[in-house]
Amino acid sequence: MNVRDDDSLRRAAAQLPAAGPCPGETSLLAFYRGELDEDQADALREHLATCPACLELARDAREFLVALRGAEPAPAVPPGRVAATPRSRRTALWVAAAAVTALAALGLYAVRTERPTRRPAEVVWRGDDGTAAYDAAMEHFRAGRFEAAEAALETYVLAHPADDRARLDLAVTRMRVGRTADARRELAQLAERGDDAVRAEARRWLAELDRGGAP
Amino acid sequence: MRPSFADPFDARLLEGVRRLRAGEPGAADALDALLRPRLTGYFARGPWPRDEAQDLVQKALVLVFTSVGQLRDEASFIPWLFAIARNVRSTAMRSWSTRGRWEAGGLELAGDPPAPDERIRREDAQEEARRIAALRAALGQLPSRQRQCLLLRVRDELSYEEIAGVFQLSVHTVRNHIAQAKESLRRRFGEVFGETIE
Repeated sequence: MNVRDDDSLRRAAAQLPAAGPCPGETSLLAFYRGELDEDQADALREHLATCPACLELARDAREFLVALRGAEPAPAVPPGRVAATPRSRRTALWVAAAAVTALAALGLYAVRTERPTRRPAEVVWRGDDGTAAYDAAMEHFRAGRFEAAEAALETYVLAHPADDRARLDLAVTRMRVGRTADARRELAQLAERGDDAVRAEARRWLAELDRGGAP
Repeated sequence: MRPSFADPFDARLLEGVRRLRAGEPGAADALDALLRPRLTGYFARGPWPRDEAQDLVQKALVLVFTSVGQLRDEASFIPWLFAIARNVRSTAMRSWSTRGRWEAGGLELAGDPPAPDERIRREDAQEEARRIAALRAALGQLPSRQRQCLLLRVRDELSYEEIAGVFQLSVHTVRNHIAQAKESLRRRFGEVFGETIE
């Protein structure tokens, strides 16, 4: 039998009882906004796997948040300037940019005492797939506009939650702007679940955080 | 835990809602400008044409502006807005579906009963029940993350990418969980029914 086409398996799956109470819209939105802790998120996933109605609501909630974050009409980079950059090159440039700023940032981080309460209202979204937001984030990062880079990366990651490389970039950027608790949480997840390269890099940045450094 | 309204858009939205509730002049226009393009993105996903999507955006915004006084506090605006938008979209979906069926020749023509499942009719009902019970037990004994991913794949026919998005996991992780779940079922189910699982 093929698990995907087997009617019996589908019926068996449909007969499993729903796990726990339905979470409701507020919890689902909180899940996709990264506001639940891991235990709460796990319980919610378990429920979604066994409740088709809540799964439908969850997919809608995610679409809603992507739409809510995705229409920002404020391109910081002229259209077409970076859109054609291949992803592999972008990643390489990102790593290079992070490396170049690392030593200087270490000194700045040591004297930083206050966490920023507001970031610039500058989120970029031009392409349907969010690639432009990623490119713009890198431009911001290289120009030292770290808070704008973080905002653009958040937009990208919301539309591409499975892109661990982008999540790593976001964590590194958050270290740079002093959001070390958020960065540590994200890095800890990536250190366990990413591909080999992402895992290794996440562990390296975690070690850096433990030493009190920043990129 | 990350605080609400921590990002730039949320901060602007919070401020816009606060100004509207305070009755400040120009607040409604500013909030309209902030929300309209975003709601357009949400309502664009539907079977309707673009101008109908704009009507739905307008309908949702009217509801927002006429009932914002009922909002408990600014921080609950996003769930509240989602409830409004979802309600407008669900109503439109039902209406569109009914209209489409009438246009296709009437409700009675569109609602043909499903064809009987030939395979089940041939099979012995007790054997099928035993088979489903064994599968249900096997599913129940899978590790939770494996079961969660497999259920969305089998029951809801989601792609790996969709599952990763819904569960906020990497595609790589989803792929691994499903492969492991299949392997467990293959071993366990094969012992019972002598079948192979692909």
